[in-house]
Amino acid sequence: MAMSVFRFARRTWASEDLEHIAPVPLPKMATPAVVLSSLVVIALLLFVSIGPLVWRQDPSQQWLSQISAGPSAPHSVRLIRDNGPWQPPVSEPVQSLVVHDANTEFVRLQWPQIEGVKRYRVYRASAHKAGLGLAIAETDKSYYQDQLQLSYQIYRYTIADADSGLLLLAREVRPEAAISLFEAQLQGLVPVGKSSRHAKWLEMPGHPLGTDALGRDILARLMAGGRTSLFVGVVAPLLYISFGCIFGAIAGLAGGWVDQVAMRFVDFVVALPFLLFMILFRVAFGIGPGENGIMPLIVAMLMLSWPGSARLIRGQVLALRGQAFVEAAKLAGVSTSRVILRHMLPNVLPMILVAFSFAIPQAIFTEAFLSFIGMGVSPPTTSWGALCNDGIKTLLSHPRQLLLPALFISVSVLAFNLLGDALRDATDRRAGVAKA
Amino acid sequence: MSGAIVQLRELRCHFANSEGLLAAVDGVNLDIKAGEVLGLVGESGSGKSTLGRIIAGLQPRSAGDLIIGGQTMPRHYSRRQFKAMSTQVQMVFQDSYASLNPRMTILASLQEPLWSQGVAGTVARDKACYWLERVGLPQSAGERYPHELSGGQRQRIGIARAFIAEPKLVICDEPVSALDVSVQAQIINLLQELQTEHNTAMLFIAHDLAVVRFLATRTAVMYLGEIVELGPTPALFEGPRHPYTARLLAAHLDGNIKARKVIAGNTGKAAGHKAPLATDSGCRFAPRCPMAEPACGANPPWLRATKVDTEAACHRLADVEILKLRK
Amino acid sequence: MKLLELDNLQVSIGPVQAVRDVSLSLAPGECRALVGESGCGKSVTAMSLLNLMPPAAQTNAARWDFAGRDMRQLSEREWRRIRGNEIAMIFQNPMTALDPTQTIGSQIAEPLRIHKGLSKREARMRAIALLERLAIANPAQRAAQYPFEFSGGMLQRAMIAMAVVCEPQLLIADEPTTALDVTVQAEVLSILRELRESSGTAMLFITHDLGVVAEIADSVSVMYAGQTVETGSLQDVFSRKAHPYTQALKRAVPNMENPHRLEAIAGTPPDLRHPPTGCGFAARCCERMAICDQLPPNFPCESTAAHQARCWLWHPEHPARWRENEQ
Repeated sequence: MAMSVFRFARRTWASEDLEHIAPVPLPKMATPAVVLSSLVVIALLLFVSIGPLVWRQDPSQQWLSQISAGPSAPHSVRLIRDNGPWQPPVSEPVQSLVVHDANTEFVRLQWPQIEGVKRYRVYRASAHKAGLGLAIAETDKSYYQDQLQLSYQIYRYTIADADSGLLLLAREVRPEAAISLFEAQLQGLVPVGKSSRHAKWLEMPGHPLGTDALGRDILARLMAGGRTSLFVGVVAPLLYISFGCIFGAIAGLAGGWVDQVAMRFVDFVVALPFLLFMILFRVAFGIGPGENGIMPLIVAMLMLSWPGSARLIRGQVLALRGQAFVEAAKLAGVSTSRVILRHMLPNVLPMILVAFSFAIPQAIFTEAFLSFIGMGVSPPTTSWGALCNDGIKTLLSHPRQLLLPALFISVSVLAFNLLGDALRDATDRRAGVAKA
Repeated sequence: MSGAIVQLRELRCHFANSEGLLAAVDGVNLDIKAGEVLGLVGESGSGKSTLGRIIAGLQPRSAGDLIIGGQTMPRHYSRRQFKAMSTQVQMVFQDSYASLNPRMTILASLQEPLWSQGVAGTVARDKACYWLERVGLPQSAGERYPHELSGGQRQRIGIARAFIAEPKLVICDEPVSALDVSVQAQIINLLQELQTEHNTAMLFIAHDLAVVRFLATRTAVMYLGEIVELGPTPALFEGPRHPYTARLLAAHLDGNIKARKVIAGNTGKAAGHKAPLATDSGCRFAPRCPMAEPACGANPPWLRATKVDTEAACHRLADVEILKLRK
Repeated sequence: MKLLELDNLQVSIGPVQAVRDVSLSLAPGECRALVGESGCGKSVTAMSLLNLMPPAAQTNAARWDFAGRDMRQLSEREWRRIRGNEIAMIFQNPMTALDPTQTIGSQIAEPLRIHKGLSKREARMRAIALLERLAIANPAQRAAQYPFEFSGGMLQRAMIAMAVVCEPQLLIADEPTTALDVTVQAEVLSILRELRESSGTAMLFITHDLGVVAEIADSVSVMYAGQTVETGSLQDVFSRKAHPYTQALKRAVPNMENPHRLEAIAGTPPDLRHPPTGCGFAARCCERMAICDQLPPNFPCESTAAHQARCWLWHPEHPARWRENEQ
């Protein structure tokens, strides 16, 4: 290793080299988790607030012709003016099983007379099922109008000899969508009045998420229900967490007998049973079984859920009071209000955020549960919990009606949880607390 | 100029615990003169930190008088008292991280004592920037948060914050115990510079004898809540009169490889820590004292003048003096 | 034959190279002090010697022999037979190092039962005997007590008892007296010396206090920024000038006999996530040369065979070598 002597020449150091502070990049508040969960929360809020203005279907309007229907696009239906008894025109004898008209109000069939057959039996089955299906009529005439609960699917009609059981004719029929004049007037699609100029075709609105057991549009109901759920879920915790925090902070700051009395009161409130009080409030408010139960729900929540955050904040305030930087502030002559605002509050805020972020999903769940058992909102007001209650009845045949409101509850609970968690992490990392 | 700015008369601080009344500070009489550095030495449990906090007003005393600047202070300070005292007494804490608000910038923490005095915004900011530089930190440190600085840098901020209010007395509660050796030296040098420059009185609480010897003009030694010896630092360290002070000095390890102090097997029985109760009578050191007599346990000793201008609280002071003469 | 031979130990935990190049050796019965400030990697070295580093840490060494065995490839089962039995460790904070839910007696007896297969009764008798030997009053009564009933110094003695109960060949002490009072420290050091003299245990004593080193060590290794920068006997390291860091440390500690102005070491240790290209101490060194920033001094450099320093000042081509200077 060759070394020249000059490399050993002495060097003094410059003072700028020494006292430097390595820059620590300030952690961003907008981490992916924060961004994603706040987007979801904003989307939900827009969904329930702006949504009904865009999607203008009435959540309580029942479409009797589309009970428990699947997702459907807007489509045209024929307006049927008369659906009374029918006879085929005599002039035309037929050679096979002929369909004169097929729609969801009636299917009109005519077949040729066959020698030796006195009575005919008409069978109807879904086209994709094997077998004859249901025997819907026996007639000695050679025509029939089927008005038995027709839906929009392919049917297979079979004509058989009623006496011998011999199968004679069969045909597949797809009825087109139609609506009777009576129902159209009932739904308000056609003005009631004696006018002979009615349109032949009507536009029926689509239901992107389908309809429930009473024919109501699910999307509109989700929006309406969301309003209630989110209102209760956000406003109630906002109120009771704030109250609890203020109560706990005062107890922690005051200390002494004030603190003791306050905490015994907190113990007392914690011991009260929630459901019992809910029902008592309902009775006290004089609300009958069919009336809207939102107010007692919110009042009960407010009066019974605040102790949790009170205890939490009191503990944190007590811990902060003993911290050296609070003592240093006292020594510096800082006024009490400034100590609370500048020193205590910023160090307590993360905890409040966490409390809040856990209280919201809890409130949404509580409201859903209560509405589910009938102690919450009553129709026509709806909430996601009430929608779940409705959806339970058709769980086996149409699970979509339960899954959709449950999905919305889960997504909103998850989003609020993540948002609170992420916000707490971001504020903690700004203060240098390592993520546990 | 050499008047006492802080006077303690029969100061006591008692805590109630399961065994009775614990006397953390028991009957302390002390004066702190303007411009002097008083070192307060003792081991854990001696009550030195409690005494410092009582003088600062952070700990209420149980009995006795605390007189600062001629005014007798009440037991519990109100906000107004703290505000008035903020230009008289300030404190540097041991844990530099806990003594700074983690959510406030350094510059804001520095300006806070000034804001509460009503100093205008720009003036306060300029002063804070000056002090930042005075303690050896770059201006960029002002915008940082405490967790971005090292322990030594944070302690400098603590010192700057104590001195920025221009107090008459700065209480340093073990300011260098948690720091590395090389950083300790920086902080100690800084404290010495600032103290001489501003002629601030300083109460330097520590358990490291060498640091106290270096900084303090006068030293007080505390044991279990009482002051057992008091006097000018050179005299006290060279000729300790109280047996406890002698033991402390003997146990201090100086890095002298030629004269080793620790002898194998030279330990007494370790019987555990006995907490000082207020009801104890007699000398607290008597159970461990090599010169203890039955009379020592009867009455509490008081500070008496010794032949080397210090004061020692020992019943057997006369005998100690004779032994010293013989050596 | 050397008891422990460690050559070029490197430990990295994630992006941080905690230990970059540590070499030390121990003869049977020798006490070596490992001196350094916080962040230099001495605790990591101690933990690595017992294979107690977390699985994420990567350890490798050019040579690592203990009592003639190669320690690099041992399985966890073999390590468990060594820990507490042939190599034992005592920690800095006895409060947290002892199990608060077990009595002291059972904790001391545990290694005996595991490694030597003694019965419960026999192990307990031996534990009580050991407590007696360590000068704890009422050992039988104390053995049935829990850690919270002990004072700091007594807890440290209990931890020492737990470590030496199986008579290990090597005792690693990680800053055992840093958290203790000065008088208690003297007692603990006295106990350690007595144990060494009676059973011939070798000791690796980790500390930052040069005073303690002077009392207890036979040889010294100084660490800085993950490397051993100076190695030698106690006499050599303390009396002769070898590495600028050691000299700076000596000057930074206040000395009772000659209270000189403390010379602080300006700056802070380097960030071990990005180790410096040249010598780790160059940025703070008062003997700094042009070459110190560029190349790390990794050449074999010795004054005597036993006294080595990792510094360019010792290179054969350096015009004015330091070895001629005595302090």
